[in-house]
Amino acid sequence: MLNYIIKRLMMMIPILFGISFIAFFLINLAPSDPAEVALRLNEIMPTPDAIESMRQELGLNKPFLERYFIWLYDVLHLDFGRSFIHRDRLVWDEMIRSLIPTLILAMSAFAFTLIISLILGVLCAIFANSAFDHIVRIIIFLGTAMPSYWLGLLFIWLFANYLDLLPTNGYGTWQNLILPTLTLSFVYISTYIRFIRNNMLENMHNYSVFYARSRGLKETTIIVKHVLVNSLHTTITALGMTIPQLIAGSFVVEYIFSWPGLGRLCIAAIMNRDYPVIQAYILIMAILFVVCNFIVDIIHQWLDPRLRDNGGAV
Amino acid sequence: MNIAKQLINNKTALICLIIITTIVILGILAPYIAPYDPNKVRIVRKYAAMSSQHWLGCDHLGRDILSRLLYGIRSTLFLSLLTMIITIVVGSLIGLISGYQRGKLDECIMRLCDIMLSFPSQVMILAIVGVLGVGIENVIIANIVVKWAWYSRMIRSSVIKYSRKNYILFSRAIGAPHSFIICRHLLPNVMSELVILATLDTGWVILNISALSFIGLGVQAPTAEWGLMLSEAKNVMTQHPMQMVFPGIAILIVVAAFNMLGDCLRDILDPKDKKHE
Repeated sequence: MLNYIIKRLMMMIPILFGISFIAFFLINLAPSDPAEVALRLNEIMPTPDAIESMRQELGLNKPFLERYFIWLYDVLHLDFGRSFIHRDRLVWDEMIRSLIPTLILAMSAFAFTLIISLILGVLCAIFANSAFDHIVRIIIFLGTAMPSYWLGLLFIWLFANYLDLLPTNGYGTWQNLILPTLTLSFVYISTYIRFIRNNMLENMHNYSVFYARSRGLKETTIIVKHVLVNSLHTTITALGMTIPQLIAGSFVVEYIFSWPGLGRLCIAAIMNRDYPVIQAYILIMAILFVVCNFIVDIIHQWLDPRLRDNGGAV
Repeated sequence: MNIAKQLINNKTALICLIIITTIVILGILAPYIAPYDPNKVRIVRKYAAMSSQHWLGCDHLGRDILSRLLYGIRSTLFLSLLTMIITIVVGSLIGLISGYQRGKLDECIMRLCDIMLSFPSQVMILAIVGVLGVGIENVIIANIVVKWAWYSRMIRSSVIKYSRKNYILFSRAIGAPHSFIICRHLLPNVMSELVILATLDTGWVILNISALSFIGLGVQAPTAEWGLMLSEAKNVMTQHPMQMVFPGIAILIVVAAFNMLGDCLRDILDPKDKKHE
């Protein structure tokens, strides 16, 4: 197990290098000159002289690879440079300030997804093709076709405007968290109820279940010990993979509910062509993603003895 | 042919097909059937209620909502379909090259595919739009970049699977040109998988493009686009909640039709999942 963890950690190093290179390279593909953008954003007339001195200040007149290594060195020291718009603010500080709300939202949406989809998924599998199953499946179907931003607007209208129960936007209290969580997790709940239901129904045809039935075990024991536990492995792997998606996909929800997270920061940066912020966003998201993958892999190894015994060579 | 017959026999699939075809025809005929110019501002008719003149009422600038919805088909649905067509063509070409050539080139392309498939698509889309700038053409490019790898991977594995079949080996032996083998032997085999994936992805692309337009990164005002219409409705939702009803329903219906059609196609063409649905 320890060997496996070390091996996976070593594998992450080249991947992270690759990602950092892509993040740096992408921004250099941008059709507009960063120096000119930086000047315009600060409402300075972009004369050739001003552009030249801005290029000096941003270090744009050095060769590409040299700039990459300088940038990488800075990034390793957690220095992402300064935002083009607020020259006095460090990008890293802004990133950290926005990362926490995004993580809070993603975690709460994850917990909600996990609980609701497990309960409903299991119930749907047990009572397959009953009226309950059909109703849940209609909701699932709507969930996958529903634009999340429209759902968010409908929630705001219903809970904030019509019923006057919850705040429409803002950050800080648990009431603020409810509507964004509901909106963000709706699609994932739909996906996972279906996933868990079908997975459990498949496992119900296993020989172990037939054998357990013939032994005369109680139906609840069969469902829990022979069906659910077997389904949990794949479910947890799949669910683990949604965490980065929840973090990345939250930008629409953050926008609707004015949630001060990474996604909203990045949208504002895109509108303003604030390249250092976009660059840092890409890099941080990619790192989060690689780390999440790593953790999910480890949990998967630990849960599934077949993988554990031969060091993940399956 | 058999597939077409089965599709028509499947009631759900038939309904979805009818809905999609109707909407496409409405979109094509929009200039002839829309009662008003979608961008004609008439401030006096601001927030006009539903009436015989304006079936679905008017928006905050007095523009006819029905006309805007009809023209919105062109931006929302047609741009999504265009995105899908380019994605399929690009993805299939890369997949064909990869599967046909094998070797180092194949290895490179497949590793690139792995990266694209494993990375969260939303981050990739934001990154590409962030680099290229705001605008619908960049949103389309971003969607293509995110999606092509799925098609390449699928086409490549089918090419490898079928290229060892006797009829293809025989075709080669008698000196049939590559284009003939690809068009007559390979593509028909891959078609069913391709159609399922493409149908399911269309719904995803519609949601994506309209979401980015809603945020302001895609289609720009005053073009009629469903996501953009919702974005305009968002600002006045307290006083005029009806404004956000119709564009939302329009998106829901179109995406639901594509998703359901995709599911039906999968049941018809790939019956092994059928028993659970």
